[in-house]
Amino acid sequence: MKVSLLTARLPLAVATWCLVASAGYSQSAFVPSAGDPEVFYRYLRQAHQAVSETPQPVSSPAQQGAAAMMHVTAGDLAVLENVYQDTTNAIAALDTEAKTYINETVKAKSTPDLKKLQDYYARRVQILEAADQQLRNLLGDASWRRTREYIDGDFRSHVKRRVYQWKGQQ
Amino acid sequence: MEGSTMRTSRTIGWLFSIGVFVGTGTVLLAQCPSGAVCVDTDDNFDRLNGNAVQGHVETSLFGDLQYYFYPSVAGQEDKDGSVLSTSSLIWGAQGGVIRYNFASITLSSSGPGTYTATGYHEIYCPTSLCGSEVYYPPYTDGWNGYDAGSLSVQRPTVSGQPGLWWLGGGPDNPNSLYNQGYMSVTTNCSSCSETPHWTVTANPSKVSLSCTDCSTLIITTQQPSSSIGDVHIQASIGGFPSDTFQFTVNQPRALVSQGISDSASGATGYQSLLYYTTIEDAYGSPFASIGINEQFGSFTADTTNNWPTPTAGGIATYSGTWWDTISVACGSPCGASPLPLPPSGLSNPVMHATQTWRAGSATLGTGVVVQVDTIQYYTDHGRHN
Repeated sequence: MKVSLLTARLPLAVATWCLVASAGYSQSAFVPSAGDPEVFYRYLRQAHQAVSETPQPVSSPAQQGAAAMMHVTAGDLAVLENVYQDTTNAIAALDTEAKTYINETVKAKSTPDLKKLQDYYARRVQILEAADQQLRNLLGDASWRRTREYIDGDFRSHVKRRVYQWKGQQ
Repeated sequence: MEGSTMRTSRTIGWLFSIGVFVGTGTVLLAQCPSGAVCVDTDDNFDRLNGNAVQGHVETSLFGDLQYYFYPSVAGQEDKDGSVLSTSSLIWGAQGGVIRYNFASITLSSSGPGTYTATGYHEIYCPTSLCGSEVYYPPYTDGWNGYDAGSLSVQRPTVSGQPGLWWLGGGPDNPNSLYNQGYMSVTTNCSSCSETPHWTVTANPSKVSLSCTDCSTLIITTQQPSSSIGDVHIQASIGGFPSDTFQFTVNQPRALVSQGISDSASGATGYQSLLYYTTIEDAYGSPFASIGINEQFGSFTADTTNNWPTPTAGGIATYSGTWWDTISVACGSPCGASPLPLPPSGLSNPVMHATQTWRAGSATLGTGVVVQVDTIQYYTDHGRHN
């Protein structure tokens, strides 16, 4: 007998929510809001990729091109890379913790605690917001404003987001 | 797009089909709401530099429920609707991000156009977490898993005057005829850091450029064109060239007679007015005004005479038509020999010289030669033969 993930894994009280929700729901993707932490992290990842693929000195045309693509100076690429490394290490540690919890809980035929999952996600957001602040401090206000303008502008506009929510009634 | 590289969904949505998850409709959220998994997709092309673009497709997961799922992505890149390449479905880590970067494309080879990356975004919950394999799409909101993004690439655009004047080496300022002008290039790439590079690809000896690595330059004419648009100029951004900018070095070509008027002048003598327009070389159109000057060679007497030789002159500006005056006017009594006469048909040559007309300046000897004739003084009129 097929049993839904959530009825199987989540507390019974929560599982009862799911019975009335509608699946015939139509929506279109949306562009995340300005200041979105996940878009910011995407920006860091892309900057990291740009740096990784152009391992020449800062003054090289390739690095200048990478910097131009990310809308920062070539010198700021190193700052972005540092923030990326710090952030990714923190996210990786969180991922490991969260995945260990979920996988082991499920393996023990128990149900992950939704509050704990919410806490992992809250910590992820905190890491990204701290990274955002760290980058702002390192770049300085003027550079930060230019960078943020790009992230919240053209860069953000390419991202499409869809939300699949646990929705039900108590 | 739905080719062999694209994986079809399996165990389609049984989890969601009983209504556990639904789309959130038009809700705009800065973060993923509680009790949800959020799927971000990014399928697009980046301009790596002036001469390269690269497509990518990406699926990323986040939110409370992100760790239940594995993201995957497959992609296809197109240019103006023609498929360039496809990528197989690849999987990312649990609750993570998966991105595929297509090979970079050199624009000088592939050219301008609309580059589109189409991604197919699948997420998967394994049996160990969901009790059975669960694949989406179709997602509960009906999304089929495909997204796409495009980048429009234009060549750099050169702008400037399509031509300037060769007037022997300088401008004719009173008539706004210039031998120098500005040219500039628009990169059509906001993220390109390269300095534009200029090349004269055809007839480079006919112009000189004030710089070759710059955004704006001054072009100076050096020689006239042999045909319209025979000087070809391109500006490139990192090696991605503009369309050819065809440039013409125009010059004055010739004088065109507009008639002659002979009349009496002085007590005895004449005045011959020889009317001209000056035409340019490229299209044969008359100038509204261009500086004109003349020079004489040595005068040769056709008969013994005591007539004074004329002084060469120039005209700075005029309106449409100008004229050269050949006049011998004598008072009474007249000491000239032979005696100049009013126009009477009794014409005998008195003296002549080579006459060289130049256009582009009123300064004698400056400009482009537009006519070489013989100025001929007769007893009762004058002519350019």
